[in-house]
Amino acid sequence: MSDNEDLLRLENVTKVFRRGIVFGQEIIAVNNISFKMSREPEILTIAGESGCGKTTLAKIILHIIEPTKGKIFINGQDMTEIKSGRDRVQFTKMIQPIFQNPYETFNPLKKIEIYLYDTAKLAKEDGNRSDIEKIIEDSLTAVGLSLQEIRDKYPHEFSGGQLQRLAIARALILNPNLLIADEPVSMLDVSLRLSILNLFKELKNNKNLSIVYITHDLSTAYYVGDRIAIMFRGSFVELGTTENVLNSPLHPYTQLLRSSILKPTISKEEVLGTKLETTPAIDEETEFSEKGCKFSKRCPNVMDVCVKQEPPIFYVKDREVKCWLYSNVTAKAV
Amino acid sequence: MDEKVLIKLDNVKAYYKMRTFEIEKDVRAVDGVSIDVKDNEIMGIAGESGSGKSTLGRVIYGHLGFPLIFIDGEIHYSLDDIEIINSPISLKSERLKDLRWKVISYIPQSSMNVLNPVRKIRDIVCDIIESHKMEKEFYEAKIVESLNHFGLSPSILNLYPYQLSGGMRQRVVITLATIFNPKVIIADEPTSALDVVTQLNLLKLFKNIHKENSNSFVFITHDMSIIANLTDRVTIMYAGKVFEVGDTAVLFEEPLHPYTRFLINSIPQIGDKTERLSIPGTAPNLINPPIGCRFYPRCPFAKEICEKEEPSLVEVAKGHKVACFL
Repeated sequence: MSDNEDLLRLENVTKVFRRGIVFGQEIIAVNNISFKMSREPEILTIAGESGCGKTTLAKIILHIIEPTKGKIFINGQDMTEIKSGRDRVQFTKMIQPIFQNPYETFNPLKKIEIYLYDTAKLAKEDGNRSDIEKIIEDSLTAVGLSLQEIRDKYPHEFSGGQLQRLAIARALILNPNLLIADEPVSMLDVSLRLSILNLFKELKNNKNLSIVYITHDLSTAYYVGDRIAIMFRGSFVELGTTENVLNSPLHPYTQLLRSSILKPTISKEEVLGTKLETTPAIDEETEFSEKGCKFSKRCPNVMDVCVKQEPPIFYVKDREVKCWLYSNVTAKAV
Repeated sequence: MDEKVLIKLDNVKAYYKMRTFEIEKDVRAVDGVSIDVKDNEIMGIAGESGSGKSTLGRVIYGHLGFPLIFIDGEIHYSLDDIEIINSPISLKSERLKDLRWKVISYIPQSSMNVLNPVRKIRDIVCDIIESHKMEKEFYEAKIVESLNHFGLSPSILNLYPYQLSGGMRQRVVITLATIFNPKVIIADEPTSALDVVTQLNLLKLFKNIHKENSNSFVFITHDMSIIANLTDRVTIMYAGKVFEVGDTAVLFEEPLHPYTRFLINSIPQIGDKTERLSIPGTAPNLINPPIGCRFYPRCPFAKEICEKEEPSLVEVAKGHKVACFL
């Protein structure tokens, strides 16, 4: 493991779900995704609508499910090659998850501190009680809580925002390099949402922690993210810095998403007063099994080639776009 | 705009009765709310979860039943030529029932799941028409017409609800809720489970219905960007109380209550990366709310008086009311 290796690198990761036994139908939930995160701490947002495969991708990175094809490298080590459970634990310690629903993360009959003690024992196997308490106290301080506040309390005594903080504190005990946060704020109220997002920024700056932030909400993505990947029907259609992608989207799907977001300000022109365009009913399954570009049925700029052949990734400046529109602009196509 | 008031709530209190270990507790979900719904307007009710906004929607619809108990206050309905006063002393549940769907209709929060899964859409539609004793042929034709209008093909009438996507089911429910052209439509978070693209289409749909039929909407949501773009007037709720009422444009320009100010400022926007502060603390427990202003434990401008006395809703400008000592 050398220092110049990437923290996380995915190479052509694909996950196919089969439905039925004999005449099974295949759904490609994650389609040929490659990306990397360097050692420089950053927040990478993966954004997309429900059913686009973003949670499946998170589960693959966390080794909850195995990819059908492709490789995952953590610190240069190929995770798909590790077979023994003990080695795997060593690596998964570096990557910690935060889940969507903080109310379901913890067992309601167990005191919160038990989770923290158990995790701390895993982090410092030969430590005595005061060592362990110090680790817990440190990680609680990082999320703005203290051991005093949480002692002898059950999950129902905390608010959703506090529980989400505790889940983050638990993850921090193992001193990870990477947090995978799957919709961490969508269950929370606006007033609490911001405190978690600010915490992510703080952790990135002070603790050198990289975060993969998975969300469907582009405005929070803009607020916290450094880079953003827009996911559609299993593939990344656009990847670049958050400012570039969201301020001047290139892929027609990103453009559609961007124009669908309402601004929380009063605008002179009536956004909603325009005539209703009747969108044809979209069948998710047919879109998943589309042969060419999966967006071609809805795309306003559709060309012949889009229906026939799946677009490769084109590089437009520092951005990756998966769309035939940019086949002429690019210097190198992969 | 027509200033005719259709529904007027006067100091309405509705609590949930809870009973654990023989100890009775009240959850004060709607606690002394006075608002009115005017003719031909879209009124938004905004607030966080647990602020009582959905309960308020139920109260306006007159859908009261255990455990939700109507404690105090009066609701005046003056729809078309019908005048009803609903109060705990004289509950007019039966008369309100006759009005439902024809004059006042309700789109519930999980509207994608309200259709009976074992009946075809056509059967569900027929049930509704029959139970209201309307002419079947006329309204069937009308259903087909409005489905077309919403971008759905009439062939979905022969399908079961599970064969439709969430957005399509939601559109079916909205079609049903609007079919008798009701005067007031109460929509409780109709878009919260949808993708942004579908959400935008649905909001356009609401706006179009409103323009064509000039009926009133009560739109309950937690999303301030929907409030900004869709509504004419807005009511801000917090912990069962109304904190601020006013025209949407005025409220967004100069919000007076610290909570409103916070709500508006807390939304991250694309194109703006400035650091935003979150509000400390959490929403109060409605079983045992603070004595004074319900916001004072979290309010950055809290004064001594806020702790002891409850601010009343005062009119500061025409149509702009706020409940704060500041």
